[in-house]
Amino acid sequence: MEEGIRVNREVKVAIIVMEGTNNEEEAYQSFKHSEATPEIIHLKKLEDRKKKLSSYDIVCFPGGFSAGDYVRAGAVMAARIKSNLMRDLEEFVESGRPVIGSCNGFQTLVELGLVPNVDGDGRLEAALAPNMSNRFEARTVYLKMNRGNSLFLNEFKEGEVIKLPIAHSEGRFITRDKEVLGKIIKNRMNVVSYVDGSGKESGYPWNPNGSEHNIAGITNKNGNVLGLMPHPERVFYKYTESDWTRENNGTGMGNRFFTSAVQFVREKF
Amino acid sequence: MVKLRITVTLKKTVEDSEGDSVKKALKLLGYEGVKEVRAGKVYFITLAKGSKKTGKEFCEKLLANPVINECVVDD
Repeated sequence: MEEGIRVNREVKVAIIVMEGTNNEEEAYQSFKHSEATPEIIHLKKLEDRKKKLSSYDIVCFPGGFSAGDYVRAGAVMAARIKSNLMRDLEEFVESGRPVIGSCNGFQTLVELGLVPNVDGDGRLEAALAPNMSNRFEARTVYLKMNRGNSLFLNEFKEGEVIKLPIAHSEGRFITRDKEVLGKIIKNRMNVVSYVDGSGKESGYPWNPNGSEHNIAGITNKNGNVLGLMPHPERVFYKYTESDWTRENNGTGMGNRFFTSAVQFVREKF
Repeated sequence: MVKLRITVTLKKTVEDSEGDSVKKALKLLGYEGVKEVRAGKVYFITLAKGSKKTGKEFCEKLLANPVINECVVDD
């Protein structure tokens, strides 16, 4: 009955917070209702070794404004992690277990060098610069799921167009050079793209921040780290979507990101 | 005591939306001659001991992302 043991296996999720993160509750509820066991952990507890990343199956960096977005969004959180937790986090990533960061969590993953990391050396290859509109963009956007090998997108169809909310002022994805962008595209790491209602890559307002190649979300080469500017955790249920009164059947668009990852852990670990 | 002034700006190759907004606002105020505005941040840091080299470490470890930023340290 090995199969049964795996189905009932507890999937532990570490949702890492610090001063200024604010989407941890939505992430907690999303994982909890995906039959996982989430835990909100302050970064200090990991720094003090009162908690260990290796005890968990999934790591989540939630959205928000860590350290008040001072310096650059995600930069302070990333610098703290780099100073004494980086090896633990790298080992976690190398083990193949899932890591997700949405919005501020994505900014942190980019500042850590965990995505895109096309050359595999952890050097910074990208940045999330201020939106081209110079405005805080907060609305629902259309997104095309390019899937690639992202374990978070297993339950999406290739090319499927979905809607998720965004809320950010620093979301313009910029790569270090054309070579990095070329490798991202070649390796199909640009797994989530901003599109218009018909599924075509278009300019503003469909691309809300001016990201290169309309990139909204990106995975690492191995497919186990996902960073994206939109917020799947905010639309786990249909009734938290902006147009839920028009189409009030089915589950929320964000649901499958979480159930895909939880299912992946049950099958592989 | 060492006093450092660290200036972080977007690289010239990166479009500066804040700078462009300021330029537009200045033009609306009647300053037609404004050709370009680049925005940035300045950090005034006092060290008990250290040097410009310490300031450069601050740039690398926290204050600048080399993909989009330039970081200049003055003492």
